[in-house]
Amino acid sequence: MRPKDLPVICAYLGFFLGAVSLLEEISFNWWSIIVLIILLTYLNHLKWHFYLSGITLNLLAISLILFAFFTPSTGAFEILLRILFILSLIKFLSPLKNRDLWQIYTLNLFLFCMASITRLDLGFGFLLLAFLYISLTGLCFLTAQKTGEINIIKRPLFYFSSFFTLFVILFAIIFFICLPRSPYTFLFGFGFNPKAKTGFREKINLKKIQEIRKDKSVAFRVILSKKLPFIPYWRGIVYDTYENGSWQMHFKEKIKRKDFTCPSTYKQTIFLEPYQGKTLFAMEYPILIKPVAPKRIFIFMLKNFSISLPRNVSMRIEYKAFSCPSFPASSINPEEKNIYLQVPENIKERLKEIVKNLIKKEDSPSIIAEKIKHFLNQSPFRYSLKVNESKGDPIIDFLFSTHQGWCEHFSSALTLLLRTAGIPARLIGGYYGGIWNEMGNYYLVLQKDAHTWVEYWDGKTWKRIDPTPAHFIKKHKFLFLSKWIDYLKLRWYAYVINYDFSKQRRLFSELKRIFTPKNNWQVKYPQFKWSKKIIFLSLIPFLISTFFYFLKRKNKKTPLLQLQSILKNYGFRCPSSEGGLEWAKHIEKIDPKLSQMIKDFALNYYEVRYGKEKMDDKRKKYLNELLKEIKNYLKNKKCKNGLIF
Amino acid sequence: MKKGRFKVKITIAGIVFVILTIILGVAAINTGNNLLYIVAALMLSIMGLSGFSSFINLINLDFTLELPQEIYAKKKTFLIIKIKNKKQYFPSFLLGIKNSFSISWLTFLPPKKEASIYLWTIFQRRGWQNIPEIFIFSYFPLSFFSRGFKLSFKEKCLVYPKPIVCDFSSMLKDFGHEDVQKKGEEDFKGLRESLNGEYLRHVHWLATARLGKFILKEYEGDGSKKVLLILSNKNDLENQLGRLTYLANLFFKKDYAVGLKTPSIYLPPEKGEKQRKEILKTLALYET
Repeated sequence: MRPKDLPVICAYLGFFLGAVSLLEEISFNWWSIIVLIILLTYLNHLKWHFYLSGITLNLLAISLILFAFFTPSTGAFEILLRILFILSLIKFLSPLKNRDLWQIYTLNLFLFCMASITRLDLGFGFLLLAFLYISLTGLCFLTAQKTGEINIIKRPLFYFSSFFTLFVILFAIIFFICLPRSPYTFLFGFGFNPKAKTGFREKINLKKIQEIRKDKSVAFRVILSKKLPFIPYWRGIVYDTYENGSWQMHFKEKIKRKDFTCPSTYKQTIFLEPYQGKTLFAMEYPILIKPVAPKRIFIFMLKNFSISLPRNVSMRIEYKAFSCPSFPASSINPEEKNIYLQVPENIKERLKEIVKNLIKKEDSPSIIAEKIKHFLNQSPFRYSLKVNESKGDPIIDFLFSTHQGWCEHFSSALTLLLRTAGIPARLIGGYYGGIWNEMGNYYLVLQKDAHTWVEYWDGKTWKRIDPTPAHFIKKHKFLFLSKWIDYLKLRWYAYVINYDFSKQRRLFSELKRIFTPKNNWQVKYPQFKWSKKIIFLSLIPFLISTFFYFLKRKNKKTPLLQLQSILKNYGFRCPSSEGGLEWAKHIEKIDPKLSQMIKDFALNYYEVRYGKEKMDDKRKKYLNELLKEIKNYLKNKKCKNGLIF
Repeated sequence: MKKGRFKVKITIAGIVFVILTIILGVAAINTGNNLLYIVAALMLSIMGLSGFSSFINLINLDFTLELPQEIYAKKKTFLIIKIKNKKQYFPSFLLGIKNSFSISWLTFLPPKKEASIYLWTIFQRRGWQNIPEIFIFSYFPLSFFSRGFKLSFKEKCLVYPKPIVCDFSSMLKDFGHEDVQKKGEEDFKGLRESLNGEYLRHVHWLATARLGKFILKEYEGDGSKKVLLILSNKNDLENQLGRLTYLANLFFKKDYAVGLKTPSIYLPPEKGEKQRKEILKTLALYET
């Protein structure tokens, strides 16, 4: 590779990285056309050197832009993207002179700006860094090409661009932290990825849970101070109504924030990925939620202690949650009781058959729950994600014929059986477990950790019971490298994506706190009057500094100027347009001795000023002595009135 | 030699870059999109560091000017500028050196190294002339800004009149007379030390070997051919001076003993480099 080709190669690579960063935004047809044209233009630059005229290229650009406008698109963003690609490709079709290359680098930057609107992931960060290095190297070589022979400086310029990129990144971090941020932004949320994943919704059927459990993507990450000694349940939505194999949440009574008494709370910071639902997840039982980023979102808590947003979680949300290990409230009103005892009439009789055989009249709710759970955990019931679609009610099929199902079959069966036994019960949708990442002290919870369990009213409070056989939990195969990459992702979201005005303010106040000297006691300043002494004392440093300032300034005068000022003091007018020798010449007729002294001084000084001699200490001393001598001579002569020449 | 203050000029690419940075910065603040913030921060960082590196690129450079031995007015003169990079670790890249006539580039100067650059200039007038200022600048690293400083020289240089080619025979009529003696058997006058650059035809080899420096034989009359250039103080002085400059060089080249007579100065005909320089200097400084 010749060094002079490097700016061209960098322009191509920059464009390629820009296109990769927008891969998800371009349709396959557009992508194919772009790749084909790029390859052709590269070959053209290498071999054929066939270039269209400027007018042809302009006409081509206009017609393609019009085509981009009038072909169906999803919106302004896609049209703008198409125009950018068209302009870049047209530029690649032209002979790549310095100006064209500059324009391509700018267009590549625009591609990355477009990508920054649609992407939030860590991959974008890596692509941007690669683009930065490539573009800076290309630009350095482009500058060198404009001015000099770059073959000689190929290697040093590479080293320079590498170090330059490194320092640019370091300084960019500082700029990123310090750039002003506003708590109020219009176009809010424009920058977030609208592609939400699947997840728990207000109405969910058995098949949906199966889908979620097959999804390996991240649901959320939870930062905790340390690993929990138990496998955590991440509580989410509370389903109360069952109908034809689907659960729904009807009971949406909100509660106002109040202080719940709780012996100990777990504080968590949760990064929830976007999904098609409204519920926020937290370790059971969440009693307080504080949004972190975005700061200004409306979160409400329902009476059943599920937390919800008014609309779907279409953006990544960071929030803090405080959870209580036991259920914090202890009352149930008749209306709630009725809801949590509902069993569809068409299956009620069949369920009664099972309940009759299992329980006794004197059994407490807890014993009944345990008995039913024991029943469901025994043969022939078996955990499986491969169950044929049932024609009737799936829970009846599960209980009486198939005996196979996943967590929702077990939980639904238990809920309905408890309700049949007269115990209020509800189905909880959430996540169970997760992967503990010790590098960042957080749980990584995947969609495949989705789970349902049951809460029943034992007469005093709600209690959790999980009827799904324990062996459903499969250990995640998670390599160390994957943990490391996921940790980077978490930090990327925490420090970069979610960095906002409040975090900036917090960071600066923290820095202020660190750098402010700590005073643990109160200082009582002595009361004093502004006496003359104090004023004088306070002026002393000022006077001293002024004295040194003028002394320094005086010393800064050149020896010739010093001589001039001495002579002026004694009445000699020494024009600045003349030099020391001229002054001596004028004085010669009046005072040959003084003239000789001035001549001697001037010659000595000129040897330094215009000759090759240096102003060393010896010469400085000699000139000072001469000056003193002249001064003393003038003093002795008392020629105060002086002479004018 | 005096270095001026740094001057920074923004290029068109720089203007575009600054405008883009501002737009992206405003967009980032408006949208609160942190990835746009990153792009804007990177651009700001590039801008700042680009200025800083161009500053580092130009500091601690020592310049020395070497003038050619003879400078003629209105003729291209090559100046040699020696640049020394006094920096301990940092090289200097893409240094541009320009004056009003030409521009030269020094692509790379490693730390603690020295390099020479040629720059041509034209002195318009004869006599003692100021050396014109030169401008040291660099677009390094990214062509967004051009940073540079002026370099002015206190020294003056002697500029000889512009040599004007003229016909030898016509000159004899126009400007004076030729007093030519045919080379014969002149009387030996003595020995003398050779002057720098003098024609070494009459070397006394024995004395040269003994003393270790060139010793020339001197004859009565000192040469066979003599010419006296006379400057008549008529009109068209500059042209006359130009022609005399040309003739002086021509006759010295042809091994004449050349003299000069002006209304105020008389230089008797002599040979040698010293005489030539003296004549040229007299012509250069005539009525300045």
